Amino acid sequence: MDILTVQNLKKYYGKDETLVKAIDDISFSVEKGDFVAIIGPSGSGKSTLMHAIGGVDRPTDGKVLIDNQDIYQLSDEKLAIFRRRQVGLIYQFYNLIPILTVEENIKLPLLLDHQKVDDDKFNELVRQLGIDDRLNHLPNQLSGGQQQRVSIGRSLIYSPAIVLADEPTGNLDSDASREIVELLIDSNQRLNQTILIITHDERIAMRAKRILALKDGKIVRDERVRK
Amino acid sequence: MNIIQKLTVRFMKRNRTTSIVILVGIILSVALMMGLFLFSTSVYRFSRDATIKKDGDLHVTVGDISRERLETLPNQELVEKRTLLSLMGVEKIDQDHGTHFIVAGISPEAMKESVPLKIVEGRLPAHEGEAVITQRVNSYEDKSLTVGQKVVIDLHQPNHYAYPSNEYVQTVEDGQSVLSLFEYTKDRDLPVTIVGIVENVNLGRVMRGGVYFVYQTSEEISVADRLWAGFVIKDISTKRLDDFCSGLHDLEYNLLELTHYYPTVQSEMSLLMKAGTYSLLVIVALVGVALIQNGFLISLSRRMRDLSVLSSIGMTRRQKWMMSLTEGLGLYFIGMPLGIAAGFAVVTVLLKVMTPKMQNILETDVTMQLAWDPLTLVIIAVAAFVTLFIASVIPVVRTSKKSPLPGVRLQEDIKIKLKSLKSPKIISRLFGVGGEIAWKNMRRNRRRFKGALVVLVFSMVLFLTLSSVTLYMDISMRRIVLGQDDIEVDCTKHKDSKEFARYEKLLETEGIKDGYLIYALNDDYFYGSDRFADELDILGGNIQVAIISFDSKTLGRLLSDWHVSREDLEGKRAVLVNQFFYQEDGHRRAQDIFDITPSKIELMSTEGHHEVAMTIEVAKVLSEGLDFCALGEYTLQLIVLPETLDLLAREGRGLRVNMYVNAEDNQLQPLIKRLETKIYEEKLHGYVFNMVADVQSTKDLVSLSSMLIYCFLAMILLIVMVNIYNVLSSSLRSRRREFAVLRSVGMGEKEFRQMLRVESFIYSLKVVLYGIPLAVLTSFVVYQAIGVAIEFSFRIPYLTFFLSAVAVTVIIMLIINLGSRKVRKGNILDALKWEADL
Ligand SMILES: Nc1ncnc2c1ncn2[C@@H]1O[C@H](COP(=O)(O)OP(=O)(O)OP(=O)(O)O)[C@@H](O)[C@H]1O
Ligand SMILES: [Mg+2]
Repeated sequence: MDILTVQNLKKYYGKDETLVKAIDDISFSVEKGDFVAIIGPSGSGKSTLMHAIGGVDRPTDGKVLIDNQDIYQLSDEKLAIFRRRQVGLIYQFYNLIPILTVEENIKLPLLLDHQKVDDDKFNELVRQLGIDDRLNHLPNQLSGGQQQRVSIGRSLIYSPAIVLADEPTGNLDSDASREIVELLIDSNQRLNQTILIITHDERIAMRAKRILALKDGKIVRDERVRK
Repeated sequence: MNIIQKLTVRFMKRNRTTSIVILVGIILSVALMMGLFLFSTSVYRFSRDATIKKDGDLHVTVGDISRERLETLPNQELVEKRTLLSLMGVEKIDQDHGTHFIVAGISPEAMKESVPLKIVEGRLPAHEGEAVITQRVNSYEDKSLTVGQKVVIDLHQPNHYAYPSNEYVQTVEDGQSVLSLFEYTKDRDLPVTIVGIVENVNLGRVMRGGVYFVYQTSEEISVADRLWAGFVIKDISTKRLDDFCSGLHDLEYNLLELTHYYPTVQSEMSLLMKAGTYSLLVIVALVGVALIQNGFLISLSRRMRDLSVLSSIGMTRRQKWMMSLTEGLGLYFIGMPLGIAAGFAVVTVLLKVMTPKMQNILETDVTMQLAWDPLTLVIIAVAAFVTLFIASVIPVVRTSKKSPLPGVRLQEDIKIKLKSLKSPKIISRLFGVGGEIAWKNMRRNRRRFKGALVVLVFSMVLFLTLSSVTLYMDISMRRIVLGQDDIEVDCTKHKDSKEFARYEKLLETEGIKDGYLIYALNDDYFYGSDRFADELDILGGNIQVAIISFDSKTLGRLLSDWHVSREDLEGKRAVLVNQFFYQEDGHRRAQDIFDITPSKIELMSTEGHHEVAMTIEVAKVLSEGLDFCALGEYTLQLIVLPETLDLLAREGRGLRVNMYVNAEDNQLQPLIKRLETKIYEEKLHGYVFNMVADVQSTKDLVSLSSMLIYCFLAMILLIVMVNIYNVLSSSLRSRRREFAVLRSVGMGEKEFRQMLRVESFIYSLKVVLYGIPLAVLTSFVVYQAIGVAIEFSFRIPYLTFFLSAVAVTVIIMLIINLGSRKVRKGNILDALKWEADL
């Protein structure tokens, strides 16, 4: 079953001489439980694609279906709620809310939705992430790797349809990077969590089940990784 | 606490400075509004109460009106309150002089408010058959009544009730004023017991002389045929007063009187004050909106990135609104009560402090009380709420439309349009690279600067408008002050100059700094010519001629100044003053009357006629008008010897004596009392007018309130400064990295300063370009409002305008310099690391 379908997606910036086709007519689909690595040179449109899929930035044209829901048919308000429940975002620079504690940052999507937090699930998650002793710290009291684990926690807490990670290890050393990747792989395997990860790191890409290569806004390669 | 509230509180804590600035802004705006409102209502109510206590509350009095006429008066709907005294008759005193005392019936109700009788001795009448007399009754010739004495009043009905001590009364028949003799018919004997002596009353000319106030019930008065009536006009204004009086137009001039010019003027002033207060309230509210909104914008821009992240993980627009609203509401519920309390506290203290001074100004023992009504309180609360609502929601509405993308991508600036970033050649040519960069920055940070710009422009406009208001008030005041003398004593009419010597003794009263008596014909003469200046009062081709003389000391001094001897003026000869004064824009201006002065003046007794009534030879021509007194306005003056006045006086018309004196410092009130006593004791005729009182009190009021307004303004300016500092330094902070980059590629201190200077300059220019025209506009609006009451031509205080433009430039330079110190001196590397920004 396809959890994500992208149809003829386009995102253009500027016009006339300054026109940039950041994404130029991309179509593909992702099955539930898949682990997709998106690679490509700088400026090839990876981040743009991810934001379009995540419902953060409206595309110029084309459709994005998550769980059979055409997300850009939704109003801004509904789209925000959809994002909160069905999309988990992880960024290179963590993007945590500096005034909230680790615990609050992780629970944020649920809290915004006025949802009761399942304590067992939460405890299990933070234990998995190895930050159970840092719950009352503020983000700036954590290391980069720890912060990234918090943002992974935030992306997983709602068990979204897909998790989108944009160079989650880009700012970390190799040890920390490996731990982060392991965490993502773990959630993919144990929870059957669908994950799309953007990376420049060949080794990380090879850990994925499928690799999508972009160049100049187009998919130039789409293959399964044989293990 | 839900997550929204939690986020709000923590954001506010993080941006503590901004939150405090906003809070102070709210408290200050509300306190200012409250203060303005409470203060103006309190002062107005105080001065009103003081006036009513002193003079009663009547606007119009009619000296003599029949019951029938009274009930069929037009425009009755304009009347708020009517007070009636029954005219029972008069007591004849002196047949030759036509002098009489009025006998009036007064009810207890009237005594309470509209006709305040001030006891000198004894008490007010409280029963049938009791009466009080005014001091003047008692002072007349050999009449000496004592309290408790029973008297029988020889009651007569006069054909006219009029100004006492005239054997003629002036009446209007077919639009012509004619003179007729007083006639009396015997009515009855009226026995009364004198229970008290009261101060002379001033209830229009009829009720200004000697009066017996005889106790009557309201029922008795309500069936009386001849009445004295006093009216309070609803929402009094000059127009309404005129409308009402038009129904009484045909009355003799001395019967219809606007008794209390002061309440009218005052109510007009209070209208102005109200208009002023409300416009100030609006301005405060607007400054408040700008200020608070700016604060919210800053705090929002500082959490832009966090908001983007929140949005990307699914915070809805509504939730963002809720966050800002929570913040606004929180600040409102803290700021509002504090602001109201502060307003109350400040005004309470202010009133306490001001009470003695104000009591002194208004010569009253009424204390200043805090006056307010709940409705206005509600209005202010609602206004503050709306202000805050707008201020807190608008920024979030504006920002929530934006894509959260730049925030999560760590971009500070949202959208840069390429074409707007081209700087005009002139800038780079004038200011070099620094200037160019500065200009680009200005363009890019347009929105952020706009808030500060609005606030600055507002405070500038506020300041300038107020300085215009002060100027206009000053002009208005000068319009009201006609003469330069403190006290006028109107000594009424006399048969001939022989009595003058007795009056000249009044000039020796203790406490007089200087003074003089003017003798004049109690009569109008006219002079005809076809070549008069427009400013002269021309009636049917004639101008009025004032034939006057002075007390012997003053006249002696003047004659020796003019090198004229008494002999030169004997007979029908006079000194001609070839200059007259007129009022323009509150200034006294002088103008010549004749190009070639005639050697004799042929006078006509009636305007528009051509029969020469008498001829006066010109013994001497003065090229300059008399500047020491309020004389010569709009008229031609002839100065003669006092004896000459006897020669010129027409049969039965007699002469007038007026005295003008200035009091020594702090002697005004004692002097008035002394003069009154002296007139009373010497059995002279004379009414003492305090010409300073009303004007002075209004003046003091205005200067006091403008002082307070300036204090308020200073407070507002202070908070505006803080706010501007906040805006500019926050914008500079957000450009820290950029500055660091510029410095790392070799921009030196000099270029950097240059850049900031250009920014300050462009910025100030903008403020001045918006501020000055707006201030002229608001000044004009204020001018229009004041112009309703007092006429003068439009002007603005140029110097203040110029200075404020300079001040704005200096202030902006200072703030930018101050705000950029850290950036200029700070470590380049620190700023270059992107973390430093967050
Ligand atoms: N707001 C924007 N306005 C104009 N062009 C943009 C904008 N955002 C992105 N682009 C352009 O779109 C293209 C794709 O950008 P994107 O950020 O998706 O690249 P990327 O593949 O993520 O690169 P990197 O690996 O360096 O992160 C680039 O050429 C970029 O210049
Ligand atoms: Mg990218």
